[in-house]
Amino acid sequence: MFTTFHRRSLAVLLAGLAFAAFPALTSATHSWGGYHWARTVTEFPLKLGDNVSNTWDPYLATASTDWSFSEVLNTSIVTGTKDPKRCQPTSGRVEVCSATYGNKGWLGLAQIWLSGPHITQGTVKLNDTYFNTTRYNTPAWRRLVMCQEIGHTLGLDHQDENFTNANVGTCTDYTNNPAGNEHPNQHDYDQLVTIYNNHTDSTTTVGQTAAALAGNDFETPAQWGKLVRLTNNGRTALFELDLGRGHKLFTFVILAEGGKLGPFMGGDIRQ
Amino acid sequence: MLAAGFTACGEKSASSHQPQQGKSPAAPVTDFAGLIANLRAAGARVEPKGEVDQPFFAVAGRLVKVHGEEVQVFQYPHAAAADAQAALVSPDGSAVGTSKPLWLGPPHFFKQGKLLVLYIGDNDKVLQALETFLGQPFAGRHQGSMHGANGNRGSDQGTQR
Repeated sequence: MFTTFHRRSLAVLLAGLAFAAFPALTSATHSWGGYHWARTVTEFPLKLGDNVSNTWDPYLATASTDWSFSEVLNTSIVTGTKDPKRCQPTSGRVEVCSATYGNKGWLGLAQIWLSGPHITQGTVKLNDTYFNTTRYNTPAWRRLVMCQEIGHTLGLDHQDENFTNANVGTCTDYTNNPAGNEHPNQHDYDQLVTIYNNHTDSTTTVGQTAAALAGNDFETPAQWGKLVRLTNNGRTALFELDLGRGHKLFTFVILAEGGKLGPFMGGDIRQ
Repeated sequence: MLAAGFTACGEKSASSHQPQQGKSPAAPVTDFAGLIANLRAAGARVEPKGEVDQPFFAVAGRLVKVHGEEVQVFQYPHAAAADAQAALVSPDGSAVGTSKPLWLGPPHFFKQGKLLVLYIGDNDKVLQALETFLGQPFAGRHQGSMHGANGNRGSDQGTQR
């Protein structure tokens, strides 16, 4: 198993570089690295793709309403088009998915893709492997996780990461007991104002679609663009695909043991 | 090289992602088989529980139970690849690059050679067993602690409570 390597998004690697190049833009207390959606209007719309089961639908609706109380954004729920298990992102919006993702140790997972400091797309995965158990199959847990993970895709970090102290009263608080931590609090809304109201962007990443991505599943080397670099005696390779408008997708590949070229990581859009 | 570039940009120092020196591994553990053999030799109950595939890690891992607690073990092709992956884990363990998992409990990330090991929980027996062979966690947090495992404050730094 360990000799076979899987395709993964290079977003995490490249995001680190992007982060370093564009340090946090605010003095916020729980901004996630200064990441934010680029937008040209003060109150921007953000679509949440519904790829969740019927059980999750009311919680998605609640979270959408909760975050839309913010004066800087309005979320709306739109029909999802994704396989919830894979939950692949869509440019310019957030795909929210539920599935039994397995015993991975997380209840929910938020992922964002960046172009510089700007969020270009996001996904939220809700792990029914745990929500199908008695402990987590409660409205309070479902509200907290849905709310927190969507909050991350807006650019928020956690207000508190101590599981055992008293609840802060926000869904951006780690806890062992979700009661009372099921919605954003005023500090979250204030933080969003700090992130989005202290500057304007000349472009927008909300609702944008990178046409070059359409129809490309990046399964074969032919879809990865030009070879930029070979390292480790040819065991690793970096490919670059120019998507236009300053966007590039990088694919990092490791030669699997035995000589078969297997993708190590997928790519990410960044300027 | 990517890891080096990341460090050079100043966001995270390389040293903050190395196993801490306070508690050296008792035996050289560089791969999955070595870890399991050493844990068992030390008297730990270790049971294989299948595979685990994290969307934010580059390789699939193995799930094992150590003293009844689930531990995730990821083996990279070489130590440099494991280092590059480890460099993406935030000091408090709350993020891996641009992924933010809501963990079931406090995460503890260990790295040794080609291995990256993740334990979610706060069982002292498990932590001691892992620290014996992997050194101190390079990222994560202890239950109830306001600080990351390596003494750094987490992303709650400066939080108004």
